[in-house]
Amino acid sequence: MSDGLDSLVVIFTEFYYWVTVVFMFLIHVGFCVYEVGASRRKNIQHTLMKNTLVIPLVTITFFFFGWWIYFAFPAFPLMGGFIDAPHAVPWSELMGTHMGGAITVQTESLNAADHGWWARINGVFWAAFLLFSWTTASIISGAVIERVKTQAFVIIAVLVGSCTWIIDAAWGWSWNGWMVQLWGFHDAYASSVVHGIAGGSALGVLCVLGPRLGKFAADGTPRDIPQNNPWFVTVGLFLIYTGFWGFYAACNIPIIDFNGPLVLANGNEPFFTATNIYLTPTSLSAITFNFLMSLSGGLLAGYVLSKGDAFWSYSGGLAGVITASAGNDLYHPVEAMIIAMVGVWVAYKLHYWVERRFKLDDAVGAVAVHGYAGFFGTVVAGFMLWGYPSNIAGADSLGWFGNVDGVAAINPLGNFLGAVLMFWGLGFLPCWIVAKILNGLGWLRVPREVELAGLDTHDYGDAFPYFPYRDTAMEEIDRQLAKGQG
Amino acid sequence: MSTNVESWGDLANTGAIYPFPGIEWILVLVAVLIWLAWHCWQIRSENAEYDAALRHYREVGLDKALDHRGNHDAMVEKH
Repeated sequence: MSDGLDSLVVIFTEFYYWVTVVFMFLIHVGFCVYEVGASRRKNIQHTLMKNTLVIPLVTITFFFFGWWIYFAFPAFPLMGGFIDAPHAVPWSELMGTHMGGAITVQTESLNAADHGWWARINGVFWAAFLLFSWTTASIISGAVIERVKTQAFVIIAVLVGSCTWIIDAAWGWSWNGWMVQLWGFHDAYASSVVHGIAGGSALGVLCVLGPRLGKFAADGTPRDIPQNNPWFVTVGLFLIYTGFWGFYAACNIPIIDFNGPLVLANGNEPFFTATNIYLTPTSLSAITFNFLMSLSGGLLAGYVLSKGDAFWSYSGGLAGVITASAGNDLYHPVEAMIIAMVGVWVAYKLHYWVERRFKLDDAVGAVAVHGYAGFFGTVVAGFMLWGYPSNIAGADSLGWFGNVDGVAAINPLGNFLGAVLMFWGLGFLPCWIVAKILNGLGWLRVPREVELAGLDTHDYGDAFPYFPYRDTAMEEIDRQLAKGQG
Repeated sequence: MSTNVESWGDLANTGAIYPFPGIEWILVLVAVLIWLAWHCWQIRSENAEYDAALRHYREVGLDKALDHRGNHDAMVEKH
């Protein structure tokens, strides 16, 4: 890197992604705090450690194969085979400390200039995607608390965090992904790419795992299992909001010459801008407007729907952002707000309908807040952004559902199919199958007696040894269940 | 020498600067084995933990275990 402007762009980009990673760390802190608050006292430490293990296990497996999947899979299977990605295989020199010179792995897809770029960007870009991976796995963690074995959860976390979500990112969240090129799929801030697939994955596991003991009365009526610390739950959600800023920023490319060789290559005067992951233009200012307006819309709707319940008001804020995220690179702020409000209504109503109808115990509403809101938001973006160019590098008339300016146009059918593929195809189905296998091996759910006594107390000890217990109605229900009643 | 770096005088032509370049395959293989071994250990350890808990609860009765919040020491002392 000897040219001044090029060097500045590269090093600014490196620093930019590094900052996003630090912010996004708060998402995982938030999830841990939130789940600890939502679980009962007898399960706190198990809940904490289960989600904490996402960090090391998804990190190392994302190093082993997750990063390679993102670059290798965009064309596979509908537009070709795997793409050569020599900078992203774990044994690449560029996956370590590197100054960009002394090329030893030059290939057709990796020239000297690429070496200079990836030597600086590879680690921070990898980490930005990795933090999305943690988030995707962590979303499932909350849904399954208080009865899942750690061994099963961490296997599912690796499956989703380092395999399935990054496949959907390669297909639908990269400028050259086949879903983008053929279907005109658009999901700028990952309504389905992260949240839809995580919600679908959680649903697949829950269908096999079953509800917590005592969650449903003998007549099928759902019971509210009290959280041990509602204040922790809300602080956790606040931390997730904070980390979400980093998530939004990390979804952008911060500075690029839009007319230059990496984007349009049209020979016009340089025009520097931020872009989304599809290399189509947006700005930090735009997404800041829309993040805050969708958060506000979601909070207002959540407050009204739940009549001021803290858990659902805060969850509404999160679901609001998730709903609007698919189009928050382009929406007007008021559009973002209204879409968020409708999305929260859909997620809230569906959560309780599914709970009553299918006896599904989603302990923290993860399937609703992430899955239903993400799915709905992706479909809405297909209508709202109908006719925009979905990317910058498609071949003429490539799009199955319409083209504009030589590339596939964003359209309702493409986004609907994408939402279905991510929620059901890459989310629900693989996790349901793996959960079935784990269940068959006896690795999925803790024994009934352990669940009743608590996942902590036999081994970890009481999380609050200096504070006396106070029974709630659930402890009496546990005693009845222990006697084979209730 | 553990590394091919002997000077910082020509960074433009410097590549990998971590120790022992060229053994990346071996490092990755070792890391994958550590990862798989960790899962094996964790599965055995967690299942053994639940088995031990079940033995205690069946010994003292689940109702007693619930009275003492599953705490082994308290159950052993009082029963």
